[in-house]
Amino acid sequence: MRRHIQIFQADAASRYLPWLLVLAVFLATVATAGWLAVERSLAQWQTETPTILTVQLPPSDDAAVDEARADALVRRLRAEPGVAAVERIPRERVSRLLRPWLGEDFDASALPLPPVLHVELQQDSTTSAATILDLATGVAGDAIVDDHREWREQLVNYVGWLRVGIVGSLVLVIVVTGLTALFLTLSRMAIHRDAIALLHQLGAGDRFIVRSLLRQAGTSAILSAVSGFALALVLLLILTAASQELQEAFLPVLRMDARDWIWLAIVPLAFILLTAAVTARTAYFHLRRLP
Amino acid sequence: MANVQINPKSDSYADPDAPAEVVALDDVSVVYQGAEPALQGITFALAPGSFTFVTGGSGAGKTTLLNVIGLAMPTHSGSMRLLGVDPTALPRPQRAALRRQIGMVFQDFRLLDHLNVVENVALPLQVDGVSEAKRRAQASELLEWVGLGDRLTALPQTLSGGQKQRVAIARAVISQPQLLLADEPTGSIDEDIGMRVIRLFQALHGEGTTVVIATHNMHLVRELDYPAVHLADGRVRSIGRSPAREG
Repeated sequence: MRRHIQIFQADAASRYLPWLLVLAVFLATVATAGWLAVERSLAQWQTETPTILTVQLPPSDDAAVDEARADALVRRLRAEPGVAAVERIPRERVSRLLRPWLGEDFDASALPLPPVLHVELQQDSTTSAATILDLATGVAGDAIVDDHREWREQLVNYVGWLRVGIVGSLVLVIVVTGLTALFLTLSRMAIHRDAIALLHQLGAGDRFIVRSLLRQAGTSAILSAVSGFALALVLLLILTAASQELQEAFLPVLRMDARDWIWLAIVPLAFILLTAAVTARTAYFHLRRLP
Repeated sequence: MANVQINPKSDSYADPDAPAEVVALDDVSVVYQGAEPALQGITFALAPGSFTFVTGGSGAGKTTLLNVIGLAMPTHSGSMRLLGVDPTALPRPQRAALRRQIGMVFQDFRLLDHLNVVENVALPLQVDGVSEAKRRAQASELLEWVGLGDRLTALPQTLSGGQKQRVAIARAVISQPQLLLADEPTGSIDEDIGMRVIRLFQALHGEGTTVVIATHNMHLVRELDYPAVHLADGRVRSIGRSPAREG
Protein backbone atom coordinates (compact mmCIF):
# COMPACT_ATOMS: atom_id res chain seq x y z
CA MET A 1 0.00 0.00 0.00
CA ARG A 2 1.42 3.40 -0.95
CA ARG A 3 2.12 5.76 1.91
CA HIS A 4 -0.08 8.61 0.64
CA ILE A 5 -2.88 7.28 -1.49
CA GLN A 6 -4.14 9.78 -4.04
CA ILE A 7 -7.84 9.27 -3.67
CA PHE A 8 -8.51 11.41 -6.73
CA GLN A 9 -7.00 10.28 -9.99
CA ALA A 10 -4.96 12.75 -12.06
CA ASP A 11 -7.23 14.73 -14.38
CA ALA A 12 -6.94 17.26 -17.18
CA ALA A 13 -8.00 20.17 -14.97
CA SER A 14 -5.31 19.36 -12.39
CA ARG A 15 -2.69 19.15 -15.10
CA TYR A 16 -3.64 22.65 -16.31
CA LEU A 17 -3.21 24.27 -12.88
CA PRO A 18 0.63 24.02 -12.78
CA TRP A 19 0.92 25.79 -16.15
CA LEU A 20 -1.40 28.52 -14.94
CA LEU A 21 0.76 28.97 -11.86
CA VAL A 22 4.02 29.12 -13.82
CA LEU A 23 2.60 31.88 -16.00
CA ALA A 24 0.79 33.75 -13.21
CA VAL A 25 3.77 33.74 -10.84
CA PHE A 26 6.11 34.77 -13.66
CA LEU A 27 3.90 37.72 -14.66
CA ALA A 28 3.16 38.71 -11.07
CA THR A 29 6.84 38.61 -10.06
CA VAL A 30 7.87 40.78 -13.02
CA ALA A 31 4.97 43.17 -12.36
CA THR A 32 5.83 43.37 -8.66
CA ALA A 33 9.48 44.06 -9.46
CA GLY A 34 8.38 46.82 -11.84
CA TRP A 35 6.07 48.22 -9.21
CA LEU A 36 8.80 48.25 -6.56
CA ALA A 37 11.27 49.92 -8.94
CA VAL A 38 8.72 52.53 -9.93
CA GLU A 39 7.80 53.22 -6.31
CA ARG A 40 11.47 53.62 -5.41
CA SER A 41 12.11 56.02 -8.30
CA LEU A 42 8.96 58.03 -7.62
CA ALA A 43 9.80 58.34 -3.94
CA GLN A 44 13.29 59.50 -4.84
CA TRP A 45 12.13 62.01 -7.42
CA GLN A 46 9.33 63.38 -5.28
CA THR A 47 11.37 63.84 -2.09
CA GLU A 48 14.37 65.36 -3.78
CA THR A 49 13.92 68.83 -5.24
CA PRO A 50 16.50 68.63 -7.94
CA THR A 51 17.92 71.93 -8.97
CA ILE A 52 20.09 70.68 -11.77
CA LEU A 53 20.56 72.51 -15.03
CA THR A 54 22.50 71.59 -18.14
CA VAL A 55 24.01 74.41 -20.11
CA GLN A 56 25.05 73.91 -23.73
CA LEU A 57 27.19 76.37 -25.60
CA PRO A 58 26.68 75.74 -29.32
CA PRO A 59 30.04 75.17 -31.01
CA SER A 60 31.63 77.72 -33.27
CA ASP A 61 34.14 77.10 -36.05
CA ASP A 62 37.01 77.71 -33.67
CA ALA A 63 37.49 75.15 -30.89
CA ALA A 64 39.75 77.52 -28.96
CA VAL A 65 36.95 80.09 -28.83
CA ASP A 66 34.57 77.43 -27.57
CA GLU A 67 36.96 76.44 -24.81
CA ALA A 68 37.45 80.05 -23.78
CA ARG A 69 33.71 80.66 -23.66
CA ALA A 70 33.18 77.56 -21.55
CA ASP A 71 35.92 78.50 -19.09
CA ALA A 72 34.54 82.03 -18.81
CA LEU A 73 31.06 80.73 -18.11
CA VAL A 74 32.34 78.29 -15.48
CA ARG A 75 34.08 81.16 -13.70
CA ARG A 76 30.99 83.37 -13.83
CA LEU A 77 28.72 80.61 -12.59
CA ARG A 78 31.02 79.73 -9.70
CA ALA A 79 30.92 83.37 -8.68
CA GLU A 80 27.13 83.36 -8.62
CA PRO A 81 25.89 83.11 -4.97
CA GLY A 82 23.02 80.67 -5.61
CA VAL A 83 25.11 78.12 -7.52
CA ALA A 84 26.29 75.12 -5.46
CA ALA A 85 28.46 73.40 -8.07
CA VAL A 86 29.53 73.72 -11.66
CA GLU A 87 31.13 70.87 -13.58
CA ARG A 88 32.38 70.82 -17.12
CA ILE A 89 31.26 67.56 -18.65
CA PRO A 90 34.29 66.00 -20.38
CA ARG A 91 34.15 65.65 -24.15
CA GLU A 92 34.54 61.86 -23.85
CA ARG A 93 31.41 61.62 -21.74
CA VAL A 94 29.43 63.78 -24.14
CA SER A 95 30.53 61.58 -27.00
CA ARG A 96 29.56 58.50 -24.97
CA LEU A 97 26.06 59.95 -24.54
CA LEU A 98 25.78 60.19 -28.31
CA ARG A 99 26.75 56.57 -28.94
CA PRO A 100 23.19 55.20 -28.70
CA TRP A 101 22.28 57.44 -31.65
CA LEU A 102 25.48 57.51 -33.65
CA GLY A 103 26.83 54.02 -32.97
CA GLU A 104 29.91 52.68 -31.28
CA ASP A 105 32.29 53.40 -34.12
CA PHE A 106 31.68 57.08 -34.72
CA ASP A 107 34.64 59.46 -34.49
CA ALA A 108 33.82 62.14 -31.90
CA SER A 109 36.79 64.25 -32.88
CA ALA A 110 35.24 64.80 -36.30
CA LEU A 111 32.14 66.38 -34.80
CA PRO A 112 31.79 69.89 -33.45
CA LEU A 113 30.52 68.85 -30.00
CA PRO A 114 29.18 71.66 -27.82
CA PRO A 115 30.79 72.31 -24.45
CA VAL A 116 28.32 71.11 -21.80
CA LEU A 117 28.16 72.28 -18.18
CA HIS A 118 26.44 70.56 -15.28
CA VAL A 119 25.13 73.20 -12.90
CA GLU A 120 23.65 72.47 -9.49
CA LEU A 121 21.80 75.21 -7.63
CA GLN A 122 21.57 75.45 -3.87
CA GLN A 123 18.34 73.98 -2.42
CA ASP A 124 16.98 77.30 -1.13
CA SER A 125 18.52 79.36 -3.83
CA THR A 126 16.63 82.27 -5.36
CA THR A 127 18.70 81.81 -8.51
CA SER A 128 16.48 80.57 -11.30
CA ALA A 129 17.01 78.95 -14.64
CA ALA A 130 16.39 82.38 -16.19
CA THR A 131 19.32 83.85 -14.22
CA ILE A 132 21.59 81.06 -15.47
CA LEU A 133 20.33 81.62 -19.03
CA ASP A 134 21.14 85.33 -18.73
CA LEU A 135 24.65 84.49 -17.58
CA ALA A 136 25.12 81.90 -20.34
CA THR A 137 23.82 84.14 -23.12
CA GLY A 138 26.11 86.84 -21.80
CA VAL A 139 28.98 84.55 -22.76
CA ALA A 140 27.45 82.93 -25.87
CA GLY A 141 24.33 84.49 -27.34
CA ASP A 142 22.85 81.22 -28.52
CA ALA A 143 23.49 79.26 -25.27
CA ILE A 144 20.82 76.72 -24.26
CA VAL A 145 19.80 76.04 -20.65
CA ASP A 146 17.96 72.82 -19.92
CA ASP A 147 16.10 72.85 -16.59
CA HIS A 148 15.85 69.21 -15.35
CA ARG A 149 12.84 70.03 -13.20
CA GLU A 150 10.66 70.49 -16.26
CA TRP A 151 11.23 67.05 -17.78
CA ARG A 152 11.43 65.41 -14.36
CA GLU A 153 7.91 66.60 -13.58
CA GLN A 154 6.77 65.12 -16.88
CA LEU A 155 8.63 61.92 -16.08
CA VAL A 156 7.05 61.69 -12.60
CA ASN A 157 3.66 62.17 -14.19
CA TYR A 158 4.36 59.50 -16.80
CA VAL A 159 5.77 57.02 -14.28
CA GLY A 160 2.75 57.66 -12.05
CA TRP A 161 0.55 56.40 -14.88
CA LEU A 162 2.97 53.56 -15.48
CA ARG A 163 2.51 52.57 -11.84
CA VAL A 164 -1.28 52.51 -12.33
CA GLY A 165 -0.76 50.25 -15.34
CA ILE A 166 1.57 47.90 -13.47
CA VAL A 167 -0.71 47.64 -10.42
CA GLY A 168 -3.69 47.14 -12.73
CA SER A 169 -1.86 44.33 -14.51
CA LEU A 170 -0.96 42.73 -11.19
CA VAL A 171 -4.57 42.89 -10.03
CA LEU A 172 -5.65 41.41 -13.36
CA VAL A 173 -3.21 38.51 -12.98
CA ILE A 174 -4.52 37.89 -9.44
CA VAL A 175 -8.16 38.02 -10.54
CA VAL A 176 -7.58 35.79 -13.58
CA THR A 177 -5.64 33.30 -11.43
CA GLY A 178 -8.39 33.28 -8.82
CA LEU A 179 -11.15 32.84 -11.39
CA THR A 180 -9.22 30.13 -13.23
CA ALA A 181 -8.60 28.28 -9.97
CA LEU A 182 -12.34 28.56 -9.22
CA PHE A 183 -13.41 27.12 -12.58
CA LEU A 184 -10.69 24.45 -12.48
CA THR A 185 -11.98 23.39 -9.07
CA LEU A 186 -15.54 23.22 -10.37
CA SER A 187 -14.28 21.11 -13.29
CA ARG A 188 -12.42 18.81 -10.92
CA MET A 189 -15.51 18.48 -8.73
CA ALA A 190 -17.45 17.45 -11.82
CA ILE A 191 -14.75 15.05 -13.02
CA HIS A 192 -14.51 13.41 -9.59
CA ARG A 193 -18.23 13.60 -8.86
CA ASP A 194 -18.57 9.85 -8.32
CA ALA A 195 -15.50 9.57 -6.10
CA ILE A 196 -16.65 12.56 -4.05
CA ALA A 197 -20.13 11.06 -3.66
CA LEU A 198 -18.54 7.77 -2.58
CA LEU A 199 -16.28 9.44 -0.02
CA HIS A 200 -19.23 11.43 1.28
CA GLN A 201 -21.21 8.21 1.61
CA LEU A 202 -18.34 6.51 3.40
CA GLY A 203 -18.56 9.24 6.03
CA ALA A 204 -15.74 11.49 4.90
CA GLY A 205 -16.17 15.00 6.23
CA ASP A 206 -15.94 18.00 3.91
CA ARG A 207 -12.48 18.78 5.29
CA PHE A 208 -11.17 15.33 4.34
CA ILE A 209 -12.46 15.68 0.78
CA VAL A 210 -11.09 19.21 0.38
CA ARG A 211 -7.69 18.16 1.73
CA SER A 212 -7.62 15.22 -0.68
CA LEU A 213 -8.34 17.59 -3.58
CA LEU A 214 -5.63 20.00 -2.41
CA ARG A 215 -3.13 17.17 -1.94
CA GLN A 216 -3.75 15.95 -5.47
CA ALA A 217 -2.47 19.20 -7.02
CA GLY A 218 -0.36 20.49 -4.13
CA THR A 219 3.14 19.28 -5.00
CA SER A 220 2.96 20.21 -8.67
CA ALA A 221 1.46 23.61 -7.76
CA ILE A 222 4.40 24.39 -5.45
CA LEU A 223 6.94 23.29 -8.06
CA SER A 224 5.17 25.36 -10.70
CA ALA A 225 5.10 28.49 -8.58
CA VAL A 226 8.81 28.12 -7.83
CA SER A 227 9.53 27.58 -11.55
CA GLY A 228 7.56 30.69 -12.52
CA PHE A 229 9.46 32.66 -9.88
CA ALA A 230 12.83 31.36 -11.08
CA LEU A 231 12.03 32.31 -14.68
CA ALA A 232 11.01 35.79 -13.57
CA LEU A 233 14.24 36.16 -11.58
CA VAL A 234 16.31 35.29 -14.65
CA LEU A 235 14.47 37.97 -16.63
CA LEU A 236 14.88 40.53 -13.82
CA LEU A 237 18.59 39.85 -13.50
CA ILE A 238 19.01 40.35 -17.25
CA LEU A 239 16.99 43.59 -17.10
CA THR A 240 18.93 44.82 -14.08
CA ALA A 241 22.23 44.18 -15.83
CA ALA A 242 20.96 45.90 -18.98
CA SER A 243 19.71 48.90 -17.02
CA GLN A 244 23.20 49.51 -15.58
CA GLU A 245 24.33 50.62 -19.03
CA LEU A 246 21.46 53.07 -19.30
CA GLN A 247 22.31 54.88 -16.09
CA GLU A 248 24.75 57.13 -17.83
CA ALA A 249 22.06 58.53 -20.05
CA PHE A 250 18.88 58.02 -18.08
CA LEU A 251 17.70 57.53 -14.54
CA PRO A 252 18.12 54.00 -13.19
CA VAL A 253 15.21 51.76 -14.20
CA LEU A 254 15.70 48.74 -11.94
CA ARG A 255 17.50 48.81 -8.68
CA MET A 256 16.50 46.17 -6.12
CA ASP A 257 17.64 46.03 -2.54
CA ALA A 258 17.30 43.20 0.00
CA ARG A 259 13.84 44.33 1.10
CA ASP A 260 12.59 44.27 -2.50
CA TRP A 261 13.85 40.72 -3.00
CA ILE A 262 11.95 39.65 0.12
CA TRP A 263 8.77 41.19 -1.31
CA LEU A 264 9.37 39.33 -4.54
CA ALA A 265 9.91 36.05 -2.70
CA ILE A 266 6.43 36.45 -1.21
CA VAL A 267 4.85 36.42 -4.69
CA PRO A 268 5.01 32.62 -5.36
CA LEU A 269 3.93 31.90 -1.80
CA ALA A 270 0.99 34.30 -2.19
CA PHE A 271 -0.13 32.63 -5.43
CA ILE A 272 0.09 29.14 -3.90
CA LEU A 273 -2.02 30.36 -0.99
CA LEU A 274 -4.43 32.13 -3.35
CA THR A 275 -5.08 29.06 -5.48
CA ALA A 276 -5.27 26.82 -2.41
CA ALA A 277 -7.75 29.19 -0.72
CA VAL A 278 -9.92 29.50 -3.85
CA THR A 279 -9.85 25.72 -4.36
CA ALA A 280 -10.79 25.08 -0.73
CA ARG A 281 -13.58 27.70 -0.61
CA THR A 282 -15.05 26.52 -3.91
CA ALA A 283 -14.90 22.89 -2.86
CA TYR A 284 -16.47 23.60 0.54
CA PHE A 285 -19.24 25.59 -1.13
CA HIS A 286 -19.85 22.79 -3.63
CA LEU A 287 -19.84 20.08 -0.94
CA ARG A 288 -22.56 21.95 0.98
CA ARG A 289 -24.95 20.79 -1.73
CA LEU A 290 -24.49 17.19 -0.63
CA PRO A 291 -26.95 16.07 2.04
CA MET B 1 -50.95 0.58 7.76
CA ALA B 2 -47.25 -0.04 7.90
CA ASN B 3 -46.64 1.37 11.34
CA VAL B 4 -44.58 -1.58 12.46
CA GLN B 5 -41.15 -2.57 13.68
CA ILE B 6 -39.18 -5.51 12.40
CA ASN B 7 -37.66 -7.44 15.29
CA PRO B 8 -34.31 -9.20 15.04
CA LYS B 9 -34.83 -12.64 16.47
CA SER B 10 -38.58 -13.16 16.25
CA ASP B 11 -41.18 -12.47 13.65
CA SER B 12 -43.28 -10.37 15.98
CA TYR B 13 -43.91 -6.70 15.16
CA ALA B 14 -43.65 -4.19 17.98
CA ASP B 15 -44.52 -0.53 18.54
CA PRO B 16 -42.25 1.69 16.45
CA ASP B 17 -42.01 4.18 19.32
CA ALA B 18 -40.07 1.63 21.31
CA PRO B 19 -36.49 2.75 21.85
CA ALA B 20 -33.31 1.31 20.38
CA GLU B 21 -34.47 0.99 16.81
CA VAL B 22 -31.69 1.26 14.25
CA VAL B 23 -33.96 2.86 11.66
CA ALA B 24 -37.29 4.54 12.29
CA LEU B 25 -39.10 6.20 9.38
CA ASP B 26 -42.28 8.15 10.00
CA ASP B 27 -44.38 9.24 7.01
CA VAL B 28 -41.29 9.86 4.88
CA SER B 29 -41.73 11.14 1.34
CA VAL B 30 -39.22 11.91 -1.39
CA VAL B 31 -40.10 13.84 -4.53
CA TYR B 32 -37.74 14.27 -7.47
CA GLN B 33 -38.14 17.63 -9.18
CA GLY B 34 -40.82 17.51 -11.84
CA ALA B 35 -41.63 13.86 -11.25
CA GLU B 36 -44.02 11.65 -9.35
CA PRO B 37 -43.06 11.07 -5.69
CA ALA B 38 -40.38 8.39 -5.43
CA LEU B 39 -41.45 7.56 -1.88
CA GLN B 40 -44.73 8.40 -0.17
CA GLY B 41 -45.70 8.05 3.48
CA ILE B 42 -43.08 5.45 4.34
CA THR B 43 -43.37 4.37 7.96
CA PHE B 44 -41.54 1.45 9.52
CA ALA B 45 -38.78 0.71 11.98
CA LEU B 46 -35.94 -1.79 12.14
CA ALA B 47 -34.67 -3.16 15.42
CA PRO B 48 -30.97 -3.75 16.03
CA GLY B 49 -29.73 -7.04 14.64
CA SER B 50 -32.59 -7.52 12.19
CA PHE B 51 -32.22 -8.84 8.64
CA THR B 52 -34.69 -7.29 6.23
CA PHE B 53 -35.35 -7.41 2.53
CA VAL B 54 -36.73 -4.41 0.66
CA THR B 55 -38.55 -5.77 -2.34
CA GLY B 56 -40.47 -4.38 -5.27
CA GLY B 57 -40.32 -4.05 -9.00
CA SER B 58 -38.22 -1.69 -11.01
CA GLY B 59 -39.03 1.92 -10.05
CA ALA B 60 -40.78 0.87 -6.84
CA GLY B 61 -38.47 3.06 -4.76
CA LYS B 62 -36.05 0.48 -3.31
CA THR B 63 -32.85 2.36 -4.18
CA THR B 64 -34.37 5.67 -3.10
CA LEU B 65 -35.36 4.14 0.24
CA LEU B 66 -31.84 2.80 0.80
CA ASN B 67 -30.37 6.17 -0.17
CA VAL B 68 -32.64 7.90 2.35
CA ILE B 69 -31.68 5.47 5.11
CA GLY B 70 -28.01 5.73 4.11
CA LEU B 71 -28.16 9.55 4.30
CA ALA B 72 -27.29 9.82 0.62
CA MET B 73 -30.51 11.67 -0.11
CA PRO B 74 -32.67 14.12 1.86
CA THR B 75 -36.33 13.53 2.59
CA HIS B 76 -38.94 16.08 1.59
CA SER B 77 -41.34 15.39 4.39
CA GLY B 78 -41.71 13.12 7.37
CA SER B 79 -39.07 12.31 9.92
CA MET B 80 -36.38 9.72 10.39
CA ARG B 81 -34.32 8.50 13.30
CA LEU B 82 -31.15 6.64 12.57
CA LEU B 83 -29.24 4.80 15.29
CA GLY B 84 -31.33 6.72 17.80
CA VAL B 85 -30.75 10.22 16.46
CA ASP B 86 -32.43 12.62 14.06
CA PRO B 87 -29.79 13.11 11.36
CA THR B 88 -31.31 16.37 10.13
CA ALA B 89 -30.64 17.90 13.55
CA LEU B 90 -26.96 17.05 13.41
CA PRO B 91 -24.22 19.41 12.21
CA ARG B 92 -22.39 18.22 9.07
CA PRO B 93 -19.35 16.70 10.86
CA GLN B 94 -21.62 14.64 13.14
CA ARG B 95 -23.73 13.61 10.18
CA ALA B 96 -20.56 12.39 8.47
CA ALA B 97 -19.69 10.45 11.63
CA LEU B 98 -23.18 8.91 11.56
CA ARG B 99 -22.58 7.83 7.96
CA ARG B 100 -19.48 5.99 9.12
CA GLN B 101 -21.82 3.81 11.20
CA ILE B 102 -23.61 2.77 8.03
CA GLY B 103 -22.09 0.43 5.48
CA MET B 104 -23.43 0.61 1.93
CA VAL B 105 -23.03 -1.89 -0.87
CA PHE B 106 -23.94 -0.29 -4.17
CA GLN B 107 -25.48 -2.06 -7.11
CA ASP B 108 -22.67 -0.75 -9.34
CA PHE B 109 -20.00 -1.46 -6.67
CA ARG B 110 -18.49 2.05 -6.91
CA LEU B 111 -14.88 0.96 -6.61
CA LEU B 112 -12.20 3.52 -7.44
CA ASP B 113 -10.48 2.23 -10.58
CA HIS B 114 -7.04 3.68 -9.85
CA LEU B 115 -6.84 2.09 -6.38
CA ASN B 116 -6.10 -1.58 -5.93
CA VAL B 117 -8.37 -3.96 -4.05
CA VAL B 118 -6.80 -3.52 -0.62
CA GLU B 119 -6.75 0.28 -1.01
CA ASN B 120 -10.40 0.31 -2.01
CA VAL B 121 -11.38 -1.80 0.97
CA ALA B 122 -9.27 0.32 3.33
CA LEU B 123 -10.84 3.59 2.14
CA PRO B 124 -13.34 3.91 5.05
CA LEU B 125 -10.47 3.44 7.51
CA GLN B 126 -8.46 6.14 5.71
CA VAL B 127 -11.47 8.43 6.04
CA ASP B 128 -11.52 7.54 9.74
CA GLY B 129 -7.85 8.48 10.14
CA VAL B 130 -6.59 4.95 10.84
CA SER B 131 -2.86 4.43 10.33
CA GLU B 132 -1.57 2.90 7.11
CA ALA B 133 -0.32 -0.32 8.75
CA LYS B 134 -3.62 -0.95 10.53
CA ARG B 135 -5.58 -0.21 7.38
CA ARG B 136 -3.59 -2.71 5.39
CA ALA B 137 -3.81 -5.39 8.06
CA GLN B 138 -7.56 -5.06 8.54
CA ALA B 139 -8.30 -4.84 4.82
CA SER B 140 -6.14 -7.86 4.05
CA GLU B 141 -7.82 -9.88 6.81
CA LEU B 142 -11.26 -8.97 5.53
CA LEU B 143 -10.33 -9.79 1.95
CA GLU B 144 -9.15 -13.21 3.13
CA TRP B 145 -12.55 -13.63 4.75
CA VAL B 146 -14.43 -12.82 1.53
CA GLY B 147 -12.11 -15.16 -0.41
CA LEU B 148 -9.99 -12.55 -2.17
CA GLY B 149 -6.78 -12.92 -0.20
CA ASP B 150 -4.88 -13.61 -3.40
CA ARG B 151 -6.13 -10.47 -5.18
CA LEU B 152 -4.97 -7.76 -2.75
CA THR B 153 -3.05 -5.71 -5.29
CA ALA B 154 -5.36 -6.31 -8.23
CA LEU B 155 -7.10 -3.34 -9.82
CA PRO B 156 -10.93 -3.42 -9.90
CA GLN B 157 -11.10 -3.63 -13.69
CA THR B 158 -9.33 -6.99 -13.56
CA LEU B 159 -11.99 -8.51 -11.25
CA SER B 160 -15.16 -10.38 -12.14
CA GLY B 161 -18.57 -9.05 -11.09
CA GLY B 162 -18.74 -11.39 -8.11
CA GLN B 163 -15.25 -10.43 -6.98
CA LYS B 164 -16.10 -6.74 -7.26
CA GLN B 165 -19.21 -7.35 -5.20
CA ARG B 166 -17.17 -9.04 -2.48
CA VAL B 167 -14.68 -6.16 -2.48
CA ALA B 168 -17.62 -3.75 -2.13
CA ILE B 169 -18.97 -5.80 0.79
CA ALA B 170 -15.55 -5.87 2.47
CA ARG B 171 -15.33 -2.08 2.10
CA ALA B 172 -18.84 -1.67 3.52
CA VAL B 173 -18.13 -3.70 6.65
CA ILE B 174 -14.49 -2.84 7.40
CA SER B 175 -15.53 -0.10 9.82
CA GLN B 176 -17.83 -2.57 11.58
CA PRO B 177 -20.97 -0.52 10.89
CA GLN B 178 -24.07 -1.04 12.95
CA LEU B 179 -26.23 -0.94 9.84
CA LEU B 180 -25.44 -2.53 6.48
CA LEU B 181 -27.41 -1.53 3.39
CA ALA B 182 -27.05 -3.44 0.13
CA ASP B 183 -28.69 -2.44 -3.13
CA GLU B 184 -29.33 -5.41 -5.42
CA PRO B 185 -26.16 -7.20 -4.27
CA THR B 186 -26.97 -10.23 -6.40
CA GLY B 187 -28.36 -8.30 -9.34
CA SER B 188 -25.33 -8.39 -11.62
CA ILE B 189 -23.76 -11.71 -10.65
CA ASP B 190 -24.71 -15.30 -11.35
CA GLU B 191 -26.79 -17.35 -8.94
CA ASP B 192 -23.99 -19.35 -7.30
CA ILE B 193 -21.88 -16.28 -6.61
CA GLY B 194 -25.05 -14.51 -5.48
CA MET B 195 -25.71 -17.14 -2.81
CA ARG B 196 -22.08 -16.86 -1.68
CA VAL B 197 -22.55 -13.11 -1.30
CA ILE B 198 -25.79 -13.62 0.62
CA ARG B 199 -23.99 -16.01 2.96
CA LEU B 200 -21.53 -13.20 3.71
CA PHE B 201 -24.45 -10.98 4.69
CA GLN B 202 -25.85 -13.77 6.86
CA ALA B 203 -22.46 -14.14 8.56
CA LEU B 204 -22.41 -10.40 9.29
CA HIS B 205 -25.98 -10.59 10.54
CA GLY B 206 -24.90 -13.44 12.80
CA GLU B 207 -22.37 -11.10 14.37
CA GLY B 208 -25.11 -8.59 15.22
CA THR B 209 -25.07 -6.25 12.24
CA THR B 210 -28.45 -4.96 11.11
CA VAL B 211 -28.73 -5.87 7.43
CA VAL B 212 -31.09 -4.38 4.85
CA ILE B 213 -31.00 -5.78 1.33
CA ALA B 214 -32.93 -4.27 -1.56
CA THR B 215 -33.72 -6.80 -4.23
CA HIS B 216 -36.22 -7.56 -6.96
CA ASN B 217 -35.23 -11.24 -6.75
CA MET B 218 -38.36 -12.74 -5.18
CA HIS B 219 -36.87 -16.20 -5.50
CA LEU B 220 -34.11 -15.14 -3.11
CA VAL B 221 -36.61 -13.57 -0.70
CA ARG B 222 -38.73 -16.74 -0.66
CA GLU B 223 -35.63 -18.90 -0.24
CA LEU B 224 -34.51 -17.11 2.90
CA ASP B 225 -36.58 -16.79 6.02
CA TYR B 226 -36.35 -13.05 6.64
CA PRO B 227 -38.96 -10.28 6.80
CA ALA B 228 -39.47 -8.08 3.77
CA VAL B 229 -40.73 -4.54 3.22
CA HIS B 230 -42.55 -4.67 -0.11
CA LEU B 231 -42.70 -1.42 -2.08
CA ALA B 232 -44.84 -0.49 -5.05
CA ASP B 233 -45.07 2.97 -6.62
CA GLY B 234 -43.07 4.45 -3.76
CA ARG B 235 -45.42 3.17 -1.06
CA VAL B 236 -45.10 0.33 1.43
CA ARG B 237 -47.57 -2.34 0.27
CA SER B 238 -46.78 -4.93 2.89
CA ILE B 239 -44.35 -5.80 5.62
CA GLY B 240 -43.67 -9.35 6.69
CA ARG B 241 -42.56 -12.70 5.32
CA SER B 242 -42.50 -13.20 1.59
CA PRO B 243 -45.97 -13.81 0.14
CA ALA B 244 -45.16 -17.43 -0.62
CA ARG B 245 -44.17 -18.23 2.94
CA GLU B 246 -46.96 -16.19 4.52
CA GLY B 247 -49.50 -17.38 2.09
